[in-house]
Amino acid sequence: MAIEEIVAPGSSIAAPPPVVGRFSDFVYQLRGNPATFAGLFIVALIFLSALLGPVLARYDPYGVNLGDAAVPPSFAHPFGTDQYGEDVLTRVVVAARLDLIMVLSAVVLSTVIGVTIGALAGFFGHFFDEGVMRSQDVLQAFPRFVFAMAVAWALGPGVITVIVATAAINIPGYARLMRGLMLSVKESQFALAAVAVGNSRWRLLWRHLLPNCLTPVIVLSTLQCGFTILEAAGLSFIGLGVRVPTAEWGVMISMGLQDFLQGHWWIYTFPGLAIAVAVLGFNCRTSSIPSGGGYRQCPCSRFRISARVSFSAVASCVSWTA
Amino acid sequence: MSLEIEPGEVLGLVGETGSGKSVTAYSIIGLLKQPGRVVGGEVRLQGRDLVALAESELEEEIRGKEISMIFQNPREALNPVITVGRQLTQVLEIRRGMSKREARQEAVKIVKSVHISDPESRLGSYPHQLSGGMAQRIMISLALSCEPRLLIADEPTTGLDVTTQYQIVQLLRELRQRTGMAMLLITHDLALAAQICDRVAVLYAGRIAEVGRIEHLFQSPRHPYTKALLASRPRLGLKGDIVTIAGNVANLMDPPGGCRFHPRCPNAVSVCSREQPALEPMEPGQRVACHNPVGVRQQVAASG
Amino acid sequence: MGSTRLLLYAARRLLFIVPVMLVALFLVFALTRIVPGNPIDRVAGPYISTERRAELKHLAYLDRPFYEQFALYLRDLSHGDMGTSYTTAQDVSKDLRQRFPATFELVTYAMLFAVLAAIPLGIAAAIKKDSWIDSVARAVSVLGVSMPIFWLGLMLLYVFFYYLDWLPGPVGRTGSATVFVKPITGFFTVDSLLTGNFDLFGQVVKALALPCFTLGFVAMAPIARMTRAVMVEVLQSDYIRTARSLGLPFRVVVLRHALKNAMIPILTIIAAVYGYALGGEVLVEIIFSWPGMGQYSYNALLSSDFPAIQGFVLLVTFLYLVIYLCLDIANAALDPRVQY
Repeated sequence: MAIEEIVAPGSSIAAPPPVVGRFSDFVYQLRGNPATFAGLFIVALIFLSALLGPVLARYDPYGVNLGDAAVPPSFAHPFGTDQYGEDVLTRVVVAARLDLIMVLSAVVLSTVIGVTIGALAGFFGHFFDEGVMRSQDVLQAFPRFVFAMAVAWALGPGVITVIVATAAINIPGYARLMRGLMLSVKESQFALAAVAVGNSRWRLLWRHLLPNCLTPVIVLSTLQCGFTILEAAGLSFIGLGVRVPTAEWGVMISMGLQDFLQGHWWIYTFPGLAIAVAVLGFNCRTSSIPSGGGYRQCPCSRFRISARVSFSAVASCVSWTA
Repeated sequence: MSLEIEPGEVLGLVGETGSGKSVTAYSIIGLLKQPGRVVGGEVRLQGRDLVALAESELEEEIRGKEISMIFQNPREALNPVITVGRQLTQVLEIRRGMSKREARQEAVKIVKSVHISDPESRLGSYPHQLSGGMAQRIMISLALSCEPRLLIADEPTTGLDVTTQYQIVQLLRELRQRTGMAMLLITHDLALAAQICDRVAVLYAGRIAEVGRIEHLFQSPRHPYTKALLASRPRLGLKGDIVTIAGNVANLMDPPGGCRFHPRCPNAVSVCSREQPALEPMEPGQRVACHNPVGVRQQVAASG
Repeated sequence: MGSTRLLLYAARRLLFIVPVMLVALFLVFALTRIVPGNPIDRVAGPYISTERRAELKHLAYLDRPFYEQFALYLRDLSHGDMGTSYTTAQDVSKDLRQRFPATFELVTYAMLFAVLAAIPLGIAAAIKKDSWIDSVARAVSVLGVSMPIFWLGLMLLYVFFYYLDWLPGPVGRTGSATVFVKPITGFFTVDSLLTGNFDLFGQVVKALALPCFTLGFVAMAPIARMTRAVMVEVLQSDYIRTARSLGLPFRVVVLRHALKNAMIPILTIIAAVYGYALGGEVLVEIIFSWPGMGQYSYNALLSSDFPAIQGFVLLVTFLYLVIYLCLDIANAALDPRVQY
C-alpha cells in the first residue's frame, strides 16, 4: 500500500532540480553500487529469456507427456516435470515473456493514466482536483489485493484482465504522486520564467513542468514492476488471472499446489524462485536511478526537514510497501 | 593543536566555517559523528585523559557532570516530542539520582536561574512552542543541570535574532560569574568572543594560528590571519567594501603543506610552504604559529 | 491534557468513515451489476422451475433496476440486515461474524510477530550499521518483499509439514479436520485456555504457527526497513547529540529519545502493512484452508455471491478505515506538533 503516500510528501518538499540523465553518469553510479548492478543483471536476464526463451527451450512448454509426469529434477529435466509431464525449466523460461509483457503493460498503463490524471488535477486544481482526490481516498480504502481480485473477477480470466486489474490498483498512486509534484513544481521559479517568456499553458504543462516531475514517477514505476509481478502471479494463482495450463509463474505454482500432497515440491518451487528473483531484480535496480543520483538517496542530503523526522527516510523505504 | 583552559576561565575558539572548531569540541566529549574519530592526542581534564576513557566511562562520569555542551539552533537541539520539563527532570533523575519530586523542584529552580519567567508552565511546553531564545535558555538549563566544571558553547547565538543574542550573552557572562565554571566558546564571531572571553584561540584549518588574551589579540594581532579576520569585521562607520581574505578555506582532506595559511597569506615567505610553524610565545600570554608574524619583520629590519 | 480534544477529533474522523464506506459500497454494487449474467441462474443451476427462479430473483431484489437494489440494500443495512448469502443460505452478517475471528486472530498474531521482531531488528541494525545484524535486517527486508506470499506458505508447508512433519498440514484452525472448538471469544488460543483445554491450546498454536509466520515474515520486511531508516536518521539528529552530551545512558537515548521520535513514521508503515496484510491474508487463507473472511470472500467472488461480496467489502473497508483512524489518533497523541 501507500508507496505513493510515501513518495509524494518527500517529493513535494522540493521539486527535483531540472536535470537531464546522462548515460555516463549512470554508468559511473553503477560502478559504486553492486546491488544495482546485480539488479540490472537479473533484469537483463529476464529480458533475454523473454526474447530468446522459446528458442533456447529444449522442450515444448505445452508438450504433455503423461509417461514423464511429475519426474523429480534430473539431468534431462533440471527442474523436473509437472503432473502433465511438461518440463518445468522450459515453462519457467518461456513464462518470462508472458509475465514481462503483462507487468510492463500494466506499469505503462497505470503510469500513463495516473500521471495524466494527477498532472491535470495538480495543474488545474479546483473542482477537478477535489473530485480526483476524493475518489482516490475511496479507492485506497480497499486493500490492494482485494481490489485487484474484484476487478479481475468482474472482467473474467485472461491476460488482459491481469493487466487491467494490476494497473487499476496503481493508478491512484501515480495520480496522487503526480498531483503533489505538480503542485510544487508549478509554483517554482522556472515555471514562472516559462510563463514570462510567453509559453502557453499547455506548453508549460507538457514541455516544462511534466518533464521535471518524472524522476519520482520513474522510481515509482520501477518499484511497481516488482510488486506487479507478485500481484499478477497472485491473481493467476487463485484462478482469477491467467488460467491453467498457460505457462505463467503464478499458474505453475497453483498447479504445484494441486500436487502438494504427493510431495512434488519442484513443480511450485522453481516458478516461485523465478518470481522472487525477478522481483529482487526490479527492486535492486530501483535503488539507484539515473539522473541526479538516485532520487531515493538524494533527499537525505539535499532537503532536510529538521523538526519532523524527514520523509526522506520514508522515501528510502519506498521500495517496500505495496 | 594544544589548548588549555583554567578553571573559571572563558576561552574563545574562533575560526571560519570549516576550520575545525566544532570537531574540536565534539572530540573533547567523544561525540564525533561517524565516520570521524580521534586518531591521536589527548584531552586532559584535571590530569585524566578523556580520549583514553571507554565510552561507558565518558558517559557515566564526564558528560553532563564534568563537561556539558550547548549548541546552535537550540530548538533542534531539544527533543521535539518530549516536554522540556521532562527532558530536564529525566537528566536530574538519571544523572543525579533524584526522585521525581526532587527533580521537579530542582528543575524549576534551575529554570528560574536562567531567567525564565513562569517556569511551571514553560516546563510543560514542547520545544516547538518556545522561541529560539527561550529554547536556548532551556538548553543552558539542561547543560547546567549536573553542575559541570566546563561548559562548551558551540555557536550558542547562531540562529537567534540580535536582541536575543545579546540576552544569551548576558546570561552566559552572569553564569560564569556566579558558578565559576570554565567555558569554551566556539564561534566565528570575533565580536561575540570579545564580549565574553578572557582568552581567544584563532583556528585556521584545524590548527591554532594564534592564542592570546583578547585585548592583546585585538590591539596587536601577530598572525596575518588574525589580522585579516579583524580587518574583515563589519563595523559601524566603515567606508568602502569590507576587506575579505583572498582565496578559500583550506581543504582539510588535502591541506597545503607547511603553514596551512600560506596560499592566502600576504606575509608568506618561502619557508612558509615548506615548514609548519610551531606555536611559539611572542609576548606574555600570547603565542603565534607563524614564520613571519605581523609587525615583527619590520621591527627586525628597523633595528638591524 | 488535550484528551477531550483528542476524543472530539476521533469522533469527527469516525463520522468521515460513513461517506467513504457508502461510496465504496456503491462501487462494489456497480462492479457486480456490470458483470453479465444473473447470479441466481448460476447458483441455482438448470433444474429449477422458471417460477421459482423468478421468486428467488425477486427475494434478492435482482429483478429491479440497479439504483433500487442499492436503495433497498441500504434500507436493510440500516436495520442491520446484510442480506442472505446465495451459497451458505445464511445471513451474511452471521457468516461474517463466524469467520471474522479466524481472520482477526491470524492477522493479529502475525502483526504482533512482525512488529515485535522487526522493530528490535531495525533498531539494532540502525545502531550497528554495516554489522552482521544489519546484514540480517537487510536480508529479511529484501526476501520479505521479493517472495510471493503464497509461495512462501507452500515452501514452509513442504518443509515443516510434509518433510519434517513437525506442524499440522493445511486443514484450518485446529490442525485437524475432526477437532472443533465452541467459540467463546472466537480467538481459539484464548478459548482453549479459558476452558482449560491445554492439549487443544497446543494444537491451535501449532496450527497457527505456519500461517502466522508466513504473513508475519512478509509484514516484517517493511517495518524492519522503515525502523532502520528512521532510526539511522533520528540518531544523527541534534537532539540525540544533546541527550548524549548530557551523559544519558545509551539505552535511554535510544529507547526514550530516539524511538519516541521514530515511532511516528514507524506507526504509519505498520498501518500500511496492516492494510496490506488484510489483502495478502486472502492468499494465506487459501493456502492453509483457513476458514476466515479471506476464503469466504474468495468463494463469494467465484460464485457471484453478491450479498456476501458486499458484506465483505463493507467490513474490510471499515476495518481499513479504522486502522487509519487509529493511526491518526496515535500520531496526534504522540506528536505534539500535530494540529487537530
